[in-house]
Amino acid sequence: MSGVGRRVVVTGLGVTSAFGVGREALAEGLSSGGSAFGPLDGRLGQVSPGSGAVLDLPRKEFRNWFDPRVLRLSTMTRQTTLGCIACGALLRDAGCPEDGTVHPDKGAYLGSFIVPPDLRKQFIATQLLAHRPDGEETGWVLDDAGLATAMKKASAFDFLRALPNMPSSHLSIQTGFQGPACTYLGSDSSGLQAVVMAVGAIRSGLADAMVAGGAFCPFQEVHLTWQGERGMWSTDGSVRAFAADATGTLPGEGAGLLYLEEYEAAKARGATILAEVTGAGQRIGVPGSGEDVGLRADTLRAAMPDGAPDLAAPTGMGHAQLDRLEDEAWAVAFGDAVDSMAAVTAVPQVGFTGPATAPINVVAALLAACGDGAPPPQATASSGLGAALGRPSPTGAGTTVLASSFSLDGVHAALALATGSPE
Amino acid sequence: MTIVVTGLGMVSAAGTGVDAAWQRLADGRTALSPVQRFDPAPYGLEVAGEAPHVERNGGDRSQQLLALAADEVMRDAGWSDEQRGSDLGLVLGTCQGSIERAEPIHRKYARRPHDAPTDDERGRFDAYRPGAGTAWLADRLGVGGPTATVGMVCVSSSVALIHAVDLLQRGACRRVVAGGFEEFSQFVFTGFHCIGALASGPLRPFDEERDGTVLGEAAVLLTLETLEDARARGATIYAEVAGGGFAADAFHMTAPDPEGGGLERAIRQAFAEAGVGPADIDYICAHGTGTVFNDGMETKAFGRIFAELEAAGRMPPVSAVKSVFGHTLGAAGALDAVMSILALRDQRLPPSVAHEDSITDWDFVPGGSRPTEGLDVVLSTNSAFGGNNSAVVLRRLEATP
Repeated sequence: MSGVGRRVVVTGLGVTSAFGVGREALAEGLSSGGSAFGPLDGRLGQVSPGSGAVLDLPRKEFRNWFDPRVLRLSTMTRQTTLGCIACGALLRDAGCPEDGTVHPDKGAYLGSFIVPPDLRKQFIATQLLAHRPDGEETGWVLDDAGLATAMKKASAFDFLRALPNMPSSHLSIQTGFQGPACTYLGSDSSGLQAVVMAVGAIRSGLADAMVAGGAFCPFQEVHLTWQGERGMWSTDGSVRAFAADATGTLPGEGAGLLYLEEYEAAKARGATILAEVTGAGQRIGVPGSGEDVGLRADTLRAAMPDGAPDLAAPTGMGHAQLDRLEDEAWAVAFGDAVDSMAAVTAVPQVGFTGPATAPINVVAALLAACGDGAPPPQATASSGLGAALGRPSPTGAGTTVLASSFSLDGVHAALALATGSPE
Repeated sequence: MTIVVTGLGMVSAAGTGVDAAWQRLADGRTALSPVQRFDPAPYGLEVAGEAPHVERNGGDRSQQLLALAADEVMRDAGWSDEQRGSDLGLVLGTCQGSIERAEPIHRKYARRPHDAPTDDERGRFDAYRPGAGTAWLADRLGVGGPTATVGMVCVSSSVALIHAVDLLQRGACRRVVAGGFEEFSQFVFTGFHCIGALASGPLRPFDEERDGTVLGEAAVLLTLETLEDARARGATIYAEVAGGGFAADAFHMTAPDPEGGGLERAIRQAFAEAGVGPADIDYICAHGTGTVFNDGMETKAFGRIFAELEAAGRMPPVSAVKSVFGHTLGAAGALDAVMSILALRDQRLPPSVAHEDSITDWDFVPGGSRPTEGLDVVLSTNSAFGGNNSAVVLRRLEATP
């Protein structure tokens, strides 16, 4: 670990959301002020909340973003596909398009949430093997003949594609990045956690460049039903972050990725440096404990020990309890400074995208700070982060950004950035 | 900064506790036995590595396994309550988490996806989330520092170990519990059967007759801290985690790079970090799943790295412990690390059980373990579907420069 102290910069942004593919599509969509929510089709439409933000991208256009000879759609889950499309956009934005070469000094970290959407095909395959009459409590396979029949219908890839490491493994295959690859699981913060860990990988010399972020697709009946049972979904078809009258969030699918590089390496190749990573933090809290706000605030302060950011990139999912916890954490961490900072979140327009939420918000914040486009300022509260949403985003080099991602699982992460080149 | 292991804890097919596992391995007696969880006859298969004495009582099996391993590792480490909190981190690897509890949910919701969940199902669903095991253990151990759940299938817990070292070296916390867990389930068994990866008989690592792996289950935990801290509190120091590396093949979603390129890079990365070369390695604890592809790929990677030693007739011994414990997926890397550490402690080479007809003329330590001298540095390797590879170099403290 000889590289401790190396500076890390962001040199590319990649995103898939219901607004489309790439940073330009996100900037345009956010700037419009409209949302990408629409009614869900078929069986999904019969499940609460009945609407969501879906990427409508014809299958034939996938090949614009990755080489179908290298990655086969038939072996990928939806969220792996979303991640690979975002990665294609990311590589172009970073000026490192796929060229068929391999890169042992570069890696890929991705946060995902494998249950249950990614497991759908896996469920189907194993259900074929698991079929049994209702009421029977034992046994999985009916008999030899049943197994033989099921095996003919189930593809080996139905099991393999949903293994938890497949999202990041596919990014490695797509990019030729042969350095460290890792999928972080289990919480809505795992996308930002992957970015934090990737920053650490570069700082410690494990890699010179990393693709990092999150990918997620929530559109599966069981997932929507169960999240609805938990009171997650908006009852009025809209998402109002940090608003007193917020009724919940809405599901969206997408991926958010950052191209992170060691500063000297980025400079040497003449990369456009969008921002420097100035701090990162992650903490664990016990779900539901009274310490939660304190630990969340501590996570923010771990990423930004001094001062306060010019621009906040909180989750702001429109869920009353979670927004309140996030708002209070920012207040504890930064006190009155929250009253002068601006804030950006993409969730009210592209939905809550699980582990991809925070990375997409980081992209949105950098786009805003770079003057490329931002949601129209619109306060949803008279104080705190809701009020910060009503202030125009500061722009220009040196703008400080702080993104937060807190989860009910107690995994919290934060990332601090300063726009422009370190020099 | 020197990072050392100061506590070990595990439960496996060999029973509860590190000593039981080490004794079983040292004796060269496989712990694989007829499947208890379900009738494997329709699959045409018989054995697995289920943890005995861990009753299936309808609770969360992953939590049961983790609790046993955690009790042992914390006793062994001897950390006080004051040494927990925000300075204690937790990094766990797993493949499928608490999958067994979710099996009934799979069945029900595959047919009736719109049904509202019952309270019991809600609990099962929450427990199934892959990060749930980490969150549960963090709560139990009083962890307040950084945590992560690594979902990298068979390299999960070795990558967790590497992450833990990184957290300590970057000062993110002062102590870390690292490892992995995996419960035996029919779901994963069926999946591996689907892809033709299961052995028709014994798991035979590096054997010409090998035809697949045998699934096991385990929870394996290690405590890590700086050498300075360990010495200051008079802790038992098992070994130094001298270096680690992980690298992707970037080749294919299932098949490994047949030449073992990713594994070679991971090993060379670990060597560089540890400041060692091939000649310093006294023993290789290989992944050795018993599949044709994995063992062949590993052999090629080792062959290139240790070519000069092999030519000189000084190839270090290689063995794989999966023939005793089964392939424990998310716990495999940590299990291999613990067995390597005990090999260093006792100066004893772990065997490859059920190994008769070697695929190369290397010393695969067939049959039973054997005593040795000068066992100072071990290389432990793992590889996974998706082309992920990891390597960890473990060193006896007395041999630390």
